[in-house]
Amino acid sequence: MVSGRERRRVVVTGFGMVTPLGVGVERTWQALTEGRSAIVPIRLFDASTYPTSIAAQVPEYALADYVPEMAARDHLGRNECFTLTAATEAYRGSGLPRPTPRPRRTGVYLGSGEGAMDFLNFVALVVDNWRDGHVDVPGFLAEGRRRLNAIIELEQEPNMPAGYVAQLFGAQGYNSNCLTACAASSQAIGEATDIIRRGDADIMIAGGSHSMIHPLGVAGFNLLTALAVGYNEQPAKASRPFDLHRQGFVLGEGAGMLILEELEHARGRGARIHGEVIGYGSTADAFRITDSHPEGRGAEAAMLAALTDAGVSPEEIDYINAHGTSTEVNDRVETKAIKTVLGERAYHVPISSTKSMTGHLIAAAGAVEAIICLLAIRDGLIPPTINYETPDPECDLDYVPNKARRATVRAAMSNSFGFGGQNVCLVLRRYEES
Amino acid sequence: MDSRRVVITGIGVVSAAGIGREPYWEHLTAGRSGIGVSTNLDLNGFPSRLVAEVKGFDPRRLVAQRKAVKVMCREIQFAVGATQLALEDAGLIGHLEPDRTGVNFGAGLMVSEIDELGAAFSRSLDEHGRFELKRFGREGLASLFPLWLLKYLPNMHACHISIFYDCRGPNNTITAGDCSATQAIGEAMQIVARGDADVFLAGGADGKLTPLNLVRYELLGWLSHREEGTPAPFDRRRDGLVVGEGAVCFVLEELEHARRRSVRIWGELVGYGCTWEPGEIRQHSRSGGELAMRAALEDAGVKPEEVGAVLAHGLGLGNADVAEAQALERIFGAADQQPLVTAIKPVTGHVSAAAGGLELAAGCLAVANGAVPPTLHYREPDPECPVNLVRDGARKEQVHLALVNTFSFGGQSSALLLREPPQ
Repeated sequence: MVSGRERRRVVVTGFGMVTPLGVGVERTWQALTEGRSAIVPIRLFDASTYPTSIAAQVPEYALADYVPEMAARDHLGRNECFTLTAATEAYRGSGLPRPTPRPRRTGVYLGSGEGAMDFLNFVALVVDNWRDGHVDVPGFLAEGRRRLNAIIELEQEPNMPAGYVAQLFGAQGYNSNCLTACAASSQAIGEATDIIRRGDADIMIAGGSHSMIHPLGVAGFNLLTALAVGYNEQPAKASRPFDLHRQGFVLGEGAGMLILEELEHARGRGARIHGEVIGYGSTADAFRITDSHPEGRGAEAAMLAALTDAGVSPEEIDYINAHGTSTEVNDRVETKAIKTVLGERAYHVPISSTKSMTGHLIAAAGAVEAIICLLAIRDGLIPPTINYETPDPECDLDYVPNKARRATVRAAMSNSFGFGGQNVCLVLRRYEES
Repeated sequence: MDSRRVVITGIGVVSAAGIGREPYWEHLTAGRSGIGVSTNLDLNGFPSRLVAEVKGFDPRRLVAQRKAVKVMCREIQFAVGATQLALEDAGLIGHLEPDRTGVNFGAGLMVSEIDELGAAFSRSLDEHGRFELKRFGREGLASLFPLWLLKYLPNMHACHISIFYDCRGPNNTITAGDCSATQAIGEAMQIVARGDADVFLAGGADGKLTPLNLVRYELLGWLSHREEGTPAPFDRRRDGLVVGEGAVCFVLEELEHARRRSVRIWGELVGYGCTWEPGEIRQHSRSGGELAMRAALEDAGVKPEEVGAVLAHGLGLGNADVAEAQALERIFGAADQQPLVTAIKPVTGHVSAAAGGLELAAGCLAVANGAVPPTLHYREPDPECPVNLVRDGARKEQVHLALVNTFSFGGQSSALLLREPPQ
């Protein structure tokens, strides 16, 4: 990407969120700036004997209250409900008419995860057909046809949320879903930005959703020793990015959605502009599926690519929303990469991990964190990294410990580094005319 | 600044119809289907016993890092194998520039091998033989191996590929149902065109040959129940899909970069269209891909009459075929005015997240060999689907432009336009 060349500008004209801190952007933002944790004992299933029995869960709410036209639709998964709710908030906030007045020029690009499987029915199928160390396949198939529900199964597919969003708003343009683990919804925003820049759409609904707080999801991450296991009795303290006593991340769930719009199109209809997406970088560590590269080379390259794409220097970044998962490796490596990219400036830029409060929303994390950057820009207020009690000598930057901080934020950077080494960085800036 | 041009310099195929592009082409032109009665899974008693299984896949030959095989489920091994073949074809093994090489792979949801889970669940039963989550958390869970989750994550195709071949550029995993490979390739094309990479490994892999996936498709009413001659795209007797497995990878390369290497060029990607079709999301049939195909043509500045061949989605499923036939008619005219149309799923099976890539590979080989493979099982044309299908053997034809059409439940619809190699 050649920075500074003539190209279409992409602004944000609406945003929506469903997070463990609440349904809706302002509710979540209020909690974030107050430093509140959403992490509690898992209620969605009996996780009492799991190594990790805590998570950040979205408070129960009725889809009918937010997306009445979809409430009668049967068997929507949790992640789909979050998608629809957040997308509705974003679209409504944008002031665009429904359906979109330009169907072929309006697209959807999400980074949404799979839905939760029909676990107890699946387990029964397996257990009832377990013979001498193998599942009897003919038996599984015969009983599966009786026990499982076609629609529940189909609604787990990761491309379904993007279909529903398109249907809700009549968006007949570009439609895709990516699933680069923890980078997915940041990637969706970045790719959607490029789609508008190259002229293939004027409006893109971009973001993501995920819920992995289910028996196999938590099991999978526990097996990888990726989750914090020593804080089951003190859930609010479990997610402690950059702290010396961090042990791993805590699962969250939810959705974040943005309305991205070509600038002239937004100005032409007098839309309110929340900010501008100015930079996107995507790279791969090409190292290991289990660990980040020890020098953070992929993270570094993603940040550099985003800054170059944005045409901004490190001096212009006023806030970094870190990937900051609270794992030993990520936080150390991310710190190193930030120092390499920003040089001396790294010591003067506030960095915070809101995963300390929301938990890790996996595919949805990137979109939620991009919106948080825009709110920081809007309000001149940086959310803290909570549970920061004991500094780690290898993580010696300013992580905005424990309390939100007033500061002018003109441009912010958001990092999302996926399991397996797919890295995304976004740069967002306050909207300025020229 | 003009967009850079993007060509295909390597093709790697792992399919039920051959491993490697030459065996694949041979199956396609000879009309030899890779579909047969399931051998890996016992489907006795299931209404559908036919599947398209990859045969003779040797990880030792095709998966560069032996130790990694244990943490790669079958589809991921296919993805890496197809990539190895594509890179060999392009002469790029050991010659990639890490920061200028990207990866984009289409993937489906991969379901864990049920025997692995069965072992864990069976350790979690109470004294009455009933599953108890408390026991699973305490004992059952720990009997799964530590990297179990990573063996099945959709983004692992692209991650393993990037690790094996040291590709550090842009990297994505598309999960858009049956459009996944088409979109992965289309997006890779955009990234090379905009200058963020010079080489891209793009394709898709899928494998729904697991008990859970088969039950799902059966419950949805998508599976064919016929014992032979199926799937039968556009045929009056069509009754559904035959599920397959496999992977395909293309080496996409910026044109001048390829010319400097004097490598054989298979074709140029000149158009990409991606849309969403209104209609019931839980079904395949809507507008048959019309708008995406038109968008791909418009993207390339090509008129319908210039297209020589269409690689149809050709599901062999109910109204989806009608919708596609009508789309082709609206774009190209009546059957006698249409380009040659062919549907290859009777040979490859339905490999969902790899489908568009398998069709693009057939398109590349059609252009290179001057022949369009036949559509098998087409014996009773359906008057509702008047399509200019190639039947009864491959048709010799100099194809200058080939169009690939894919659409998915969920509403996604994507198309790619391939041109013969530039002079």
